[in-house]
Amino acid sequence: MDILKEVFQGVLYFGIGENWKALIMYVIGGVLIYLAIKKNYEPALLLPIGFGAILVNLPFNIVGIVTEFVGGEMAANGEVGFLEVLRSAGISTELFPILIFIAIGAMIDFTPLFKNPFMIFFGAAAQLGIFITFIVTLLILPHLGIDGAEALKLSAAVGIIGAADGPTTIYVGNHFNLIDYMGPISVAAYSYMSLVPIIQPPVIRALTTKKERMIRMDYHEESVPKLVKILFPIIVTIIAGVLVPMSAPLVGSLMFGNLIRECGVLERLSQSAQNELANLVTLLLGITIGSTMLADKFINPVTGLILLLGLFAFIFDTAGGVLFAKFLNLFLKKKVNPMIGAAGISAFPMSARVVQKMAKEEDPTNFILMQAISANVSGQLGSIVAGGLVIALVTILL
Amino acid sequence: MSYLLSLLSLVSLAVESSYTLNEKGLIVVAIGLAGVFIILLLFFATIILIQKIVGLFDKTGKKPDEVKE
Repeated sequence: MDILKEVFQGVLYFGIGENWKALIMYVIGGVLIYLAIKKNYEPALLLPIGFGAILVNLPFNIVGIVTEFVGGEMAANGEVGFLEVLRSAGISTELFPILIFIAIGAMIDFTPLFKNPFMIFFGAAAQLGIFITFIVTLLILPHLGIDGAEALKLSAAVGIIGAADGPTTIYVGNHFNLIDYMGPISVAAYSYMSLVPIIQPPVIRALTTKKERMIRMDYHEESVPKLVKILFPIIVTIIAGVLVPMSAPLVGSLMFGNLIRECGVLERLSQSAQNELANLVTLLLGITIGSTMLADKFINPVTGLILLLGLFAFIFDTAGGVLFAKFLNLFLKKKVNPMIGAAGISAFPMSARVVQKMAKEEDPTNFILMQAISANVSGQLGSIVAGGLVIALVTILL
Repeated sequence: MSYLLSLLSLVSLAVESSYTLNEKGLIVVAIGLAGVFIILLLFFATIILIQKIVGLFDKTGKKPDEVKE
């Protein structure tokens, strides 16, 4: 009998304590993999996250912190699996988000922004959801027994889901050492990013009239001197680093990647950052994030709240951008298509495409993609600045 | 400068001791949102300024390489 128990201890594992919750995590992991493959929702991240969630909930957690039966209870036995090694090296040290930012920087072309610098303000307005979600979360958490500094930190991380920027979300969550919540926070951030084409259109339609959605905008077709493109990342890094030092790692790595792209003498490095670096880190980041989804930490009411508030943040980001554009239209002679405001979120280039698609639906000859792209790259800047500011302010107030 | 730093540390001490959780939240919202706008305003000014300066170089004949879009 003892031999049988020994052989089938993996099966018996699910009958002990609350280990049955692992079975629910297999289903959740399966759903994420399904969404990635069948619905094509951020497959590069949702698939590794889903598989990581399954892996880390296998009996005795051989891939994370290895556990065993001790006196009928599960206990860590001091060994660490490969996912725990990746988490300590890549997430706890904030290395993976930073490397992703170098890759993103190498991918971003700020040219449309240089041609429409005014669009940068939509990148600020569309961060409204971060701050509204932050305060709403702060009001709700004490009712779930989370109070004080812990509530302030968790509210910051939940609010940052609205940055529509996975690496910034992970960076902020990790900065506040919210390991137990990293799973739901990351899943919310990446899932809603992929759901931008579903989340944004109803919000935009609710806040704009058909006439507003048909507004045409001029686009200045001028060449941008290379020197402008080289100076911009350097000066922005200095400004952000001096004014909000907490944002320096994010802005610095993004702008470093962009400088590699724009300098014109590091083509191979630029290509490597855009392809090999981005692919490798995305692969490891996804499965490592999945490994934070341990059943006993993931299945609780706070996870549901985080997922709900993440959606709330995306909705208010979109609303913030659109309403800001409508506000500007009260004063501007040449009206702005308010849908452009919605592209001020960081989900690049999805949000700009959504806006262009909606403009085309109203008027097939209306082309506002370049303006939307300008707002969209501004959203990248806005989200990392917001991330840095939230870290700085919450740290002071803790 | 040292006065400014002492003032900042005094403010942060006052903040730590006297504000409730919700008031702290409101401080983050107000300063955070205003901060994002101010910093992006500086980025906006940077773009305009760089383009103006590089444009001046253009006019004086020291034309930098142009990237045709």
